[in-house]
Amino acid sequence: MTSSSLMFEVLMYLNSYYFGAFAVCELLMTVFKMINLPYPNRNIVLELMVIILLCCIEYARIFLGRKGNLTQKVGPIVMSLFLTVPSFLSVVYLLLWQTYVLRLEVILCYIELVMECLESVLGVVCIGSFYKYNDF
Amino acid sequence: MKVYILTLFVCYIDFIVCSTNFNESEPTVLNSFNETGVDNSTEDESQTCVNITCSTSGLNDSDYHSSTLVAPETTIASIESDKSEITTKSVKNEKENELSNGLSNSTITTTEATTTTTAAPVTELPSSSYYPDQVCSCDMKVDECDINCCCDSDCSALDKKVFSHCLSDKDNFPEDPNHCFKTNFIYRNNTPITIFKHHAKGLFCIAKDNLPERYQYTDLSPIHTTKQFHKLLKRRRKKVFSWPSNFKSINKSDAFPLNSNYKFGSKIWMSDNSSNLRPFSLQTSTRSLLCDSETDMLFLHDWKSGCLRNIPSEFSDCESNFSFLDMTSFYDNIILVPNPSVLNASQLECSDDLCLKVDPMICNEEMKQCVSEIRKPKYDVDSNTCMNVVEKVLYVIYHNGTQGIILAEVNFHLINVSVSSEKLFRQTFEMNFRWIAINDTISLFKRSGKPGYLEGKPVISAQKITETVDGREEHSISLNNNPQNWLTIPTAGYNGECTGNRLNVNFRQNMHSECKLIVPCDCAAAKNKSWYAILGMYAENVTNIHKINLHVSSYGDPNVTNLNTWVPVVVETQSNPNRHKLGCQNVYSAISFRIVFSKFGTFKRPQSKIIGVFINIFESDRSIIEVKNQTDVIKIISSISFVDASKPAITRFADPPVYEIKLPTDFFYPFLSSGHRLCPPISVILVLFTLFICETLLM
Repeated sequence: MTSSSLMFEVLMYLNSYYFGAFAVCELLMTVFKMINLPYPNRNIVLELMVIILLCCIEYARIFLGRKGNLTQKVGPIVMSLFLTVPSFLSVVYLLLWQTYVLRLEVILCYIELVMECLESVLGVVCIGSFYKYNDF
Repeated sequence: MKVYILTLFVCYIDFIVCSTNFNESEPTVLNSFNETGVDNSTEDESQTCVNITCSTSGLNDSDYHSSTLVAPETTIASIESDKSEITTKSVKNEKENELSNGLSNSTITTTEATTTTTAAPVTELPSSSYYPDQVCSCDMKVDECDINCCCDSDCSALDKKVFSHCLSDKDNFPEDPNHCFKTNFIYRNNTPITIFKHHAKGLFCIAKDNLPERYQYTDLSPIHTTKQFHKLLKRRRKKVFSWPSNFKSINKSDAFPLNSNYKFGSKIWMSDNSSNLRPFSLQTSTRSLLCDSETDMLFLHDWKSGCLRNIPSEFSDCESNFSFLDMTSFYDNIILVPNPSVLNASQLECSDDLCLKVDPMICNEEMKQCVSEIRKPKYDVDSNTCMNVVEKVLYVIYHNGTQGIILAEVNFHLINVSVSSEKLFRQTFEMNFRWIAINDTISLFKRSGKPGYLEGKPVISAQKITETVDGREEHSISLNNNPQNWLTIPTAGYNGECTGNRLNVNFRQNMHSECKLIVPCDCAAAKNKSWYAILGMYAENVTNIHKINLHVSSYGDPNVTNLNTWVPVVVETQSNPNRHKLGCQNVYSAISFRIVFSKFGTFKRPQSKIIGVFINIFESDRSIIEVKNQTDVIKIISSISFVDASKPAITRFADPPVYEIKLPTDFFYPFLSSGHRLCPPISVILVLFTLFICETLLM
């Protein structure tokens, strides 16, 4: 009996591609801003670091989430949920607190945030169903 | 397991990055103030501690404009100490600051600097940065509504109904074109004419700007010590305007230049009765229109000025000796030094044989037809006038270049003024220099440029005269030397009436003039008068306005003999369709000149020539009907516009030559030939041969 969540898997799968596009756009937009706008040096480093770290976290989060869901293991999903927090904060940083926020960034960040919220809800549901159907 | 550790590590770093960023979320505000602080501490040995602020700008999730608000309240504690160690302890202190306009609440954290040594706060900066919202540059009147000032809080909604528009503060604030929302920052929400936001198109505009400080100047602290002043001024040496050191310049040029000749621009020296040498000067006006100061006359520097004088109010004023009314006061005491080198250096005295007296002449209003005569002011009881009052003074200095002044004369134009108090008349003073060798100065012709016209110089015109000599028609140009007889337009006097004083049509000066002309209600006289007003002297003895044969010189240096350098003036008349049945014909009231010119010569020194003149003459709108002994008023309008018809230089060049290099069809025959199959192909042999040669050369 499988208790993996199809919805969770679909979302994670979608998110993996979406995030790829998101990261590429973010990097390109940062370059665009660096060229076009006055930037304090420190802010550039900071923002690039945030984006790169976000990439790492997001990769690990999606990987762990999918692995946990497919293998019906609670551990990776919990880890994935735990990683959602820094990932969420990083996206919020890009949405609100970085030096210049472009309109495209606003749109992309909101989509990413919505996905992450849905995934964390479904992640919790998933864990619940694991507990329900499997005895640990 | 590795994945877990890695992700944990990454997480940790990410948190650090995020949290450090939160602490420094207002980087430039701090920076800007710290800079001033650094300035202070470097300039003053005594330690200055600065500490300032945080604002909500970075963290605030409020809307766009309120996020631009930065409210630094600054406290500078400057402590005099002998470089003892200062430890600072920060005390964070949060307080709510309600902004007066109620736009947003921002939390201000003030970090106070406390020291272990004696704390003596010396300066306190005023609340430094003005929010763009608080700036309302059109609100000038206190407690009163300024018209069209939409940001004025004194104006009620009712008051604002009278406004036609809002005086914009847009120019005062830099606007970033990258922003998605362009708010003009100023208008408050509670006015009917309120905030307007432009929404820029495109996804790459800035939706939120967390670096509004780039629009703000660094707020500098006041300067207290001389040392700071010197340092600051030294750094900005190039920006500071400095006057010439005036202590030196005054006395230097006031000394009599011994053993030197006059040069262009050097002062002319004179001696008065007291045998003192002083620069020769004439009256002029500086502070008011009255004659209240004197100007030194400079050698070879033609000069003209006019100023107002009081009309004599009494009999005694009129006939008093040596007043400004009296012509003798302008030459009697004046003995000019012909050249400074003439005088003996030891004595510096102007004897009669060395120096020059000025000869007086009385002339007419145009300063011509002069007679050598002296007329003193005289009071005429019957008419209550003061006669022979000096109105124009013209000094004519004849010079011979380096030899200085040879001859000097002064021409006067005298008038009679009725004696009255509190009335003024105008005196004009003029200084002309002429070469002694040239006698006939009246017929002196002044070019308007050489060869092309110069801007502002009168357009030269003349009439073409056709004479029949021996059955052949001969054309010639009769050019008058006086610019007053060239193309002119009428001007209005003080009461708006057209005067005899006409303005020249000057090259590249577009002009428009209107004046009233009083014409008799008699067709012939009205016609003549209007024609004269429009065309000036060219209207004399002309029956058909199309046949005035007027020509304009193409070049500023007219050539009378070459008729090709003269351009005919094309005249077009427009009659008034609404003229009254009984109204006089051909009474013209408006003239418009269209003068087409073009540039010629090189780009470096372009010259201008006139290539066409078109005159449009309009019949008077007002119909003049013959009534005996009546007058009517018509309005004379003249306008001049210049049209530049220059064409750009020819920038087309010949096409590059086509190289038609073709190899003969059998060029590759030896390589492609398959005739001798038995032998190795010649190409192979050739390649081997070249390789062999190369190898041997390299060895």
